[in-house]
Amino acid sequence: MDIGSASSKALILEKGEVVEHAILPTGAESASSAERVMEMALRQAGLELDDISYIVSTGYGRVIVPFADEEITELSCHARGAHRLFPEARTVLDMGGQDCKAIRCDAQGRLGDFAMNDKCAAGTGRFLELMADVLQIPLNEIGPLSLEATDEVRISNTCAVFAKSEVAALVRQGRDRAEILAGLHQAIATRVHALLRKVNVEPEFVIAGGIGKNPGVVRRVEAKVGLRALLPPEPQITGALGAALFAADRVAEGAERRRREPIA
Amino acid sequence: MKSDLHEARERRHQEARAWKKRTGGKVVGLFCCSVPEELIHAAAMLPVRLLGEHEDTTEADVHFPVNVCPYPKACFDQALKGSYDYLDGMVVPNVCDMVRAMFGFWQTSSPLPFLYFLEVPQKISPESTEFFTVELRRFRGALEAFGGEPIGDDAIQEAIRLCNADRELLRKLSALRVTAGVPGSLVQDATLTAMVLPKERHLELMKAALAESQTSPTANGLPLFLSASMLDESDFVRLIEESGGHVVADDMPAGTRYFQADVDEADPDPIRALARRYLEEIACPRKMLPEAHLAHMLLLLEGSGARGVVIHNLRACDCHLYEYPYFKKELEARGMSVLFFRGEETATELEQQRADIEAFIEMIEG
Amino acid sequence: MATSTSAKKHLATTLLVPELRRKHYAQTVADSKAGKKVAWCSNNIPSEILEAMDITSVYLENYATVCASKRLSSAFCRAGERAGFSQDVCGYARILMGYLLGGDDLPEAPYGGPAKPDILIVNSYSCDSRMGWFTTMARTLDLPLYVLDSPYQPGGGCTDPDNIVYTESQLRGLIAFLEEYTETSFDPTRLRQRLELAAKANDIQVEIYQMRKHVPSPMGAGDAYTAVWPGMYLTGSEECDRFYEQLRAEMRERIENGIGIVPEEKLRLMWSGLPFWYNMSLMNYFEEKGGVVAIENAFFRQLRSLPQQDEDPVRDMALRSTMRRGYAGGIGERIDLTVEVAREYSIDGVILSYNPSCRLFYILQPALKNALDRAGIPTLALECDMADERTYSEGQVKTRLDAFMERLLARRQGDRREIRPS
Repeated sequence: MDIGSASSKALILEKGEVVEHAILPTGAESASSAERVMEMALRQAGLELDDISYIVSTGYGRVIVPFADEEITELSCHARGAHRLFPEARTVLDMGGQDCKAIRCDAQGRLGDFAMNDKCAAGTGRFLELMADVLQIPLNEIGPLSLEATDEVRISNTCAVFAKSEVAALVRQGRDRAEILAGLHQAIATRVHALLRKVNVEPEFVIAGGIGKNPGVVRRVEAKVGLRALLPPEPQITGALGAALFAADRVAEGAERRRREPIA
Repeated sequence: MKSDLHEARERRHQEARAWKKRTGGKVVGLFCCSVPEELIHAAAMLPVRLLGEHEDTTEADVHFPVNVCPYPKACFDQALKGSYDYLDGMVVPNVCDMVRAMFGFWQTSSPLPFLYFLEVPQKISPESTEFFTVELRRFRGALEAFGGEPIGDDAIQEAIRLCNADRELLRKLSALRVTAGVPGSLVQDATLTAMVLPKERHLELMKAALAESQTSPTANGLPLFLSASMLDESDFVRLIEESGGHVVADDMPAGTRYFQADVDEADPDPIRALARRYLEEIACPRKMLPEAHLAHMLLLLEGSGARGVVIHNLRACDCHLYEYPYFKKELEARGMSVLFFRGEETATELEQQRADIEAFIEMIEG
Repeated sequence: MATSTSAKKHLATTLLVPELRRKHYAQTVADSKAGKKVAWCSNNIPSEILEAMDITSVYLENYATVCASKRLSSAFCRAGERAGFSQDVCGYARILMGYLLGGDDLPEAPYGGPAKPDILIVNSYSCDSRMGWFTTMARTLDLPLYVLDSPYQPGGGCTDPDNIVYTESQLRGLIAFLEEYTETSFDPTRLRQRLELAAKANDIQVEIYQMRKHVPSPMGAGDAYTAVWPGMYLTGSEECDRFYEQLRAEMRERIENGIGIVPEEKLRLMWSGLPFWYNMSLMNYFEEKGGVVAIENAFFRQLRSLPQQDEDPVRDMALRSTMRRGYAGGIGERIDLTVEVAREYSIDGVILSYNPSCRLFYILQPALKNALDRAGIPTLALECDMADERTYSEGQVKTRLDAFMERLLARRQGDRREIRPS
């Protein structure tokens, strides 16, 4: 289980292979979205909760999953999950809905140094959603459009609160939207790069999280870091995958279940 | 239109390199108005005040956290990027937390053959001047050891005369802001170049600037007073000019604080004369108590014709940030409107400041 | 009022401190009422001199930490900011200035407020903030202020006679100031007595710091941040010496009997920089997983007192403080000391406290991280103010602490299957 502030994910592993996964927006109630996304995954897999030997929860809402046996932070889980997908991974950038994390891992997928930006929106999905909204362009188009610009408007505010009005002003001035987007994506890449530098980036470099689907961010971050980014085909479930792998470890060690309650 | 003085500031690195090549001399970088450049000149070396660039401090960010004064960080960033690789030495004075930390950072990240920590007292008192006099003698000794040549009192007296002459010309140009509409940005560029160029060269540029000022178009914006913690370029003053203002007087390191007071040429002990001027005559808020600093500022304000005060403090500058509420209150009580900026030395902040300056000017004029 | 979040104490001696502190503050108020002169001081103002002149000292930075620990920082900081002081400036200063300048809507101050001052004394060499803060208070309260200066000496102690002369002039200047403004007289014999007691207390504390190298740790940061109080604020008194003698005895007993902070010590951590005074329970946070914060670098003492250097106690103070710089120093020295301590105390991981308003500590944290990276010691950065609790976010801090523990435990045991549920 990976209960983020924007989306909740459930992933079921059997004999080390992913059997099913489900993703739902988190909404106001983390506990109930955890239940719903778990039910969805179980239904897809044709299983009951009791069939699951061990459940590890991670993410922002990890402590409120009533049927979890254990909580492990998303830092460890992303390291583990990314490493499982790309065994040569040593640096993982997770750009989630509301925070951004730079994570190092070792050859065994163990968590190393990490740095988080959870104090502001720069480098997060929320920032891009806000910008897409101001520019009246669908979220999935802003990345490609930003790459079409031949020039770039320099954005001074990476603070979402001020950037919104700055961008609105630029639109009113008739500036080209592709150029504005180019500037915004560049500003994000700069902030993200500063975060990555704190953990000393080493190849292979993985970008996980929803924003991995935005080529405008990916290409610019690659350019700054000087490395090609490996992109998981399903970028949002890296954390849940890591959590499930930890759960599988527990089963192998003979750990006992400790879940408080079944699904209501 | 940008002046020769402005161009000289932009070309300061080339100028320093050219000077080195021409003379075979050593270049010594320094921070802050508290370092007596005369001693470095007397050692036949070139003192160069470090100035930053307003770009992303990508190299310095590895060593510094976010909420620190951006000026020394930007200078350190330039050093790491190689812009200052012509420096043979550095002098770091005991002034504020961030500047004096530069001593340690330079030691570990950018070692130089000569790195001197100047023990500037953090208090103005007779004992402090006495201690500073002794410290300057020690500094002279260190420069002698570094340069391999003795530095006689004569050489120091000569350097004092030269620097006093330069300051005199700066004061002349500065006064012309009030009487002849000379732009504040020109005066600031003149000051910034004084801090980085060989004195003879700067004296030439000053004479030319003074001559030119007789015939140049005059600034006619709203007269304003600028108090700044540190501005290492004249873009902010130019922004004020573009927005309808005219900086007629100022209290800032790269401004009046640099040239207002002379060193006493009549003192038979030039080291003591330097200690007195550099400790007692510079309105540095780290040492000068707020009441004294305010009195000093009010003297500068008086007679300048300024109709408003702009205060530009760099972020995390504790020395100036504590003074601010007191200065604001006292200035407003004397009928002066005050506009405050928290500066970060980024490439893009100027544009955001323009609207505030325009509104401020409109408010005063309206 | 919000609940207190103090650290759990594992030693009996440290439990004595809250009462000592309460009594001390009550005494300062009683002194003031009885007509004794009160000085508001910044840290490092030598109370030995004030005590030798029968002047009561109140150390404001400590008072600010008390306000923070009683969960009053939000209200006071906000008041300080309303009075015009930027969020960039020291949290302690904003708290006190909020207290002084804030309105009627402020909560009751601890102990009824600090005793009313007659004079202010600040040392100028520690940091910029103190100067701005104390000059503001002097003006606001319209009271005389003495600035005690000293050479900075980034390289540490030295024997330069001119440095000594200057330092001595500052101490004598302080005495002259005190004589003028408090009409008390200076008694060198009393100063000598207090200096001797202070030297003894220092040496016992140095010993205690050495004892903390022991595995399992007999005293962690949870106790230490409290145990440091008498040495800072009751220095030069018999009471202070007795406290540390008792603490040392308790430490010896714990070491002899192998008593640690946790039943099985799995991880030893170091806290670098100031703690979050409004949530000291973080020092115990790791204990349920077998982690201890074995040492902290903020008030670290490793140098024994120098023997007496001169008959004249004021000259002696000047000599010894010039020759030995116990506090701060240059950036390089401070970084080297932290790395050395991490090694000597067998530290598995260092928590770097980035307090944005305390420039003195804040400036060197990234450089410290780089040095610790090179030394192969894992670090965790926590960005919260030491006094202003509005900068603290429980969820964010705990996620980082949990992740750091996971990382260290996995590394310690060399196998990912060893991250055990608590």
